[in-house]
Amino acid sequence: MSAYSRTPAPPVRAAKGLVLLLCCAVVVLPFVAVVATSLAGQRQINAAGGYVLWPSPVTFDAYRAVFAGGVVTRALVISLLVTTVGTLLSLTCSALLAYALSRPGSLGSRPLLMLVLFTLLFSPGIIPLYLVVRQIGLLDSHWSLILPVLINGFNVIVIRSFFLDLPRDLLDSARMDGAGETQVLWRVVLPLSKAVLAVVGLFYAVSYWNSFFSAQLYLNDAADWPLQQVLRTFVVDNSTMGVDNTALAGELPPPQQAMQMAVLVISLVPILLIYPFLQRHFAKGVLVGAVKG
Amino acid sequence: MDYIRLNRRQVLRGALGTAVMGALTACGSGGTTSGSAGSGGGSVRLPGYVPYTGLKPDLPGTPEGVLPAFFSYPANPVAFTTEPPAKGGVVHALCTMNTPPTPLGGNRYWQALNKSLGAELRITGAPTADYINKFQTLMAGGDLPDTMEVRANTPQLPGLLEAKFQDLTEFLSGDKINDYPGLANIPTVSWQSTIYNGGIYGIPIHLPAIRLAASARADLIAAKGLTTELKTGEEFLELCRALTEPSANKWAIDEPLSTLEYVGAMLGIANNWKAEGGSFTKNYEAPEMRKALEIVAQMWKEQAFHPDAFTATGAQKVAWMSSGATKIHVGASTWSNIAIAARAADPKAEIRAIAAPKFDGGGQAANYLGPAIFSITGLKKAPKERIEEVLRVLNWLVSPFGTAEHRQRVYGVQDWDFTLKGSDPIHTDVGKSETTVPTLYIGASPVVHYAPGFPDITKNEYEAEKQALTTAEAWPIGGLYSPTDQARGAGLDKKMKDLQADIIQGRKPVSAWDEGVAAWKSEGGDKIRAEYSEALQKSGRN
Repeated sequence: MSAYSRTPAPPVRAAKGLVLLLCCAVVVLPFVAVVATSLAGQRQINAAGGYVLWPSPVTFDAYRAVFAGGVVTRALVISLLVTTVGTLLSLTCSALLAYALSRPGSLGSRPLLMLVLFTLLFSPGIIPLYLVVRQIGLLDSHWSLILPVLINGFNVIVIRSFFLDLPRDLLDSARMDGAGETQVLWRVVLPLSKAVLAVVGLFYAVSYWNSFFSAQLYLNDAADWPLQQVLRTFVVDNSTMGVDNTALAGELPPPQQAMQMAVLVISLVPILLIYPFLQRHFAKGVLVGAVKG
Repeated sequence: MDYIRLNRRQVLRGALGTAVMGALTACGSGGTTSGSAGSGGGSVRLPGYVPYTGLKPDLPGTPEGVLPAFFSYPANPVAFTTEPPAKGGVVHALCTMNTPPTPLGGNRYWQALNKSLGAELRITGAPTADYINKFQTLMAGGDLPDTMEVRANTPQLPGLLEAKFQDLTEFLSGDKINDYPGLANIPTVSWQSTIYNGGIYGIPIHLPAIRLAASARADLIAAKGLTTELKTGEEFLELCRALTEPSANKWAIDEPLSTLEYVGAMLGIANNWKAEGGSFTKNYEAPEMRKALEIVAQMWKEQAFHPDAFTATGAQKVAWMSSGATKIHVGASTWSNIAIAARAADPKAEIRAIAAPKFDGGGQAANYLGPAIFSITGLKKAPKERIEEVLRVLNWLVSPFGTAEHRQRVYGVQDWDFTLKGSDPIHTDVGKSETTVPTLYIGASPVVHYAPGFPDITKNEYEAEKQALTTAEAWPIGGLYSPTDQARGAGLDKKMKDLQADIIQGRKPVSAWDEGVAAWKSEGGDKIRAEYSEALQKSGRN
């Protein structure tokens, strides 16, 4: 029996378990610290030197301050809408383009592929992109957050590679049974490509969810800003977050560190909720798509 | 207090990078004054200064530049204007927006403001850190709003102003400003920074002239048997050591780069540039800068600074001071917001200024003056009637402290956005969300000392400013122009600040400073010096 297939001795197993536990702790502790700090008061945070692992007492002051006035709630709804619509549209268009590019003999597939690859190497500057968005009338519209980034070249290549890996015979047999290209795509290719679609969908969703720069450039009214742009003002800038100095007489300002952590929690939770459902597809989808040229 | 809260870096980025600054000695507040300024091609008669006299401050402003102080808000604010300044339509502004307000549809403050202005105030905003991107994009796209916050580090600023912005000279120069009494109430020193291409190209957003000060938790320092009255730099360092208790999560100071400048002032380093024999020496080149870096790097090593000092926001630093996590703040000279927050956390808390001593003793060190502005508000080119209308709107927005317009702009609607505590307006929770409409970046009243509910804090801040101004050191390149500084100065300064941060944190040795200075010179510093020297000679001031 080879060494690696023998059951290790209990001390070795314990040591392995300990190492794995430590690895888990390294991953989990920052999250715990973020959540706990978001629920702690400023005094406890200061006493602990910046982060706490167990809030005592638990206070929701930071969340109350972040959500005060409804600005963050409104931005949350906008972000959810943009992310949902954007991801669906991006996934649809990317899959269609990838399928066309994966079919040998498609009209213009080679030049199209070159164009897609070109976007991986060169991106338009901020101002040219702004001028295009303005010219086609997308300023101050939430479509400006979606259409300019509708198709990501990298994601198209990943999906195309996955499609190319599907058995040619399977597709040919579908055609022999009378299926057209649309039916082949819809009934054969896409059902077999759930893994890559899940992964690319996650890529798109995360990208839309995290996007703030487009909103900053194209949306002039702050009431239209998505969540990340609003939250950015809490974390990056020297903002007093709605608390004018004039209002401070006799009351404590909201806990700043806790607010920053609350902002992190708010921005992380939706993606964390989606990820477990896609995780089983994740490794397979990325690997299969990535190793084929 | 209607202040724009900034950290030191933002002030430097936003204002001090300017190449066109006025001679601060022109400042006056004791009566009607006016002057002239030249920059980049000509001279112009500055707007006259007509201070508002409708309200008597508890402590008066002084000709040296001390700002007036108010112990409480006037009980019955009087109207400053007689009618809405606009005749309908929209006034569109581009400015910093760090906290998005409740949208107009559900914002009573904003609706009332629009009613008072006689127009819809539409705002395109971007956070401080992203503002320049937004500004440049809008400029490139040609979609100019009526008013724009213009920062002095905008590339190619004189050319841009000439091409796209209205020259306001014919509307504001000299006595013409009397048509706009709110604008006439802005001190002359701040107007100096609006002069480009021989014309007035904006409305200044006023800031106190002193740009750097240290304030401290005097109560906690006294509890340790120590004092804030310092006589030498060594005493300052000893105080910092005594206040440093990392094991208890307590540190002495919150801001290393400002402290470097503060220590530099103790060592006699000049205020940014030093004029000597018709030429200039940058503060980077001063031999004392190496010593200042050594001192502050040693302080960092001794853990005198909060470990997050380089990355924390201003609001976090206020929280540190109010909880006692740090006990000395080096930053803006208006620190009453810190004192108020500290008092809210601890009724016994007391913030006092620490007047910087000369490092080796012998009196108070120099206090650096700045351009006394945050930014300027430029106007899009437009027909005369439209310019006058927009100027009237700005005049309304800059209505002086204590007037009905000021109270409405800052505090909103009574019993909705604010309630009265005595005569001091205090924001309600609704008001905190509604009143973040960033009017103060479009047009803001001249700053005064006012800490609602805490007259002692107001008095302390006032007295500290008065004391500091006794050793004020003017801005030496005021009224002079360097195109290279305008175009590349901010970038060069950033590299030097990054190097300072590296040295302080021990990532680079102090000896790296000399290489940095050499690079600064060759990459543009020498050219900037030559341009300023030439401008100085032409000005006949040397």
